[in-house]
Amino acid sequence: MNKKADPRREANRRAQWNKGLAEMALLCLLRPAPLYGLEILDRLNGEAGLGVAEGSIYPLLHRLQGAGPVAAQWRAETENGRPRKYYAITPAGRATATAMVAEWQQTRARLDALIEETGDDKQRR
Amino acid sequence: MTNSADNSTAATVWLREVRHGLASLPGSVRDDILAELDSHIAERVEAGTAPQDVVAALGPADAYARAMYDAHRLETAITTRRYGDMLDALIRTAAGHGLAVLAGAAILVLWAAACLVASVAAFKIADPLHAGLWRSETEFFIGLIDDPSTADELLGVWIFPLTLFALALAFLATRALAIWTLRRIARRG
Repeated sequence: MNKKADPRREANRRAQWNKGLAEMALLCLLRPAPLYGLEILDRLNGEAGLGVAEGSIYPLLHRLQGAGPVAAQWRAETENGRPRKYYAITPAGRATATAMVAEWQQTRARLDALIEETGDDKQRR
Repeated sequence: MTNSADNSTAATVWLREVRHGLASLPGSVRDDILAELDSHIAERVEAGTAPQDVVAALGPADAYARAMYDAHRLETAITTRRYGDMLDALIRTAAGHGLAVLAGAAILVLWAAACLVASVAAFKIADPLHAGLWRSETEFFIGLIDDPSTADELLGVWIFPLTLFALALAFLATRALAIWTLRRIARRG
């Protein structure tokens, strides 16, 4: 019998996966140009669909500043006159992003092959 | 009081609680964190979200302040590389990170070994006949021996430079291990 997945466990598992992917996605987002916190959050959740909690983005950015891949700078914005703190990727962060993306692509290719080979529940029945 | 006033109050109260939770941080760091939060809330409100909903999405103020505080401690430890800050950050993160526990255990072992050598060197000054690195047919150890005629002492005065080397090695190795571990933790979150 096909047992229905527990939505809370599903959400928890997805959160764990996404937590691991958030750093890679964040560094990739910053590769073309610096972004401010809210913009990073909305793009991580919108484009990447990572479900990053609103309250966890600034602690994450703060930690990444300390670890080295990200640097921050306040800029005065002309559109609303309010200053925004922009985050830019550092050379070390760029190297980290490249390594993470390569690792992710290899893992994804291997997993795709495994999933293809083993099939899903319907095929087996 | 109108709904709008309630909403504004909710954001003000939330920010005040965060400020209170960050009281032990340097003023400039605290102001920087609060300015960014203020800007975040203002932009969400301008986009049409009620301030009450914005702060609800950010989570409880005390939890938020604690997360920022921990992130700041971690950042400070990594950037300043002060030994005390790094050990403090490792201890604080040990509850949620097995890696910090392992690193802490390795640091303890390395320092224990270096301190053992140093303490034997100290005994060597007071009691040169019984302290040292000993080898007999059945034993090989560093420390004090009851009857020196039953074993050979291998180090002699070389125990003093060895002590300096062991202490320097323990300091450098544990410092490198602490930096590496904190960087890993900072990236994993």
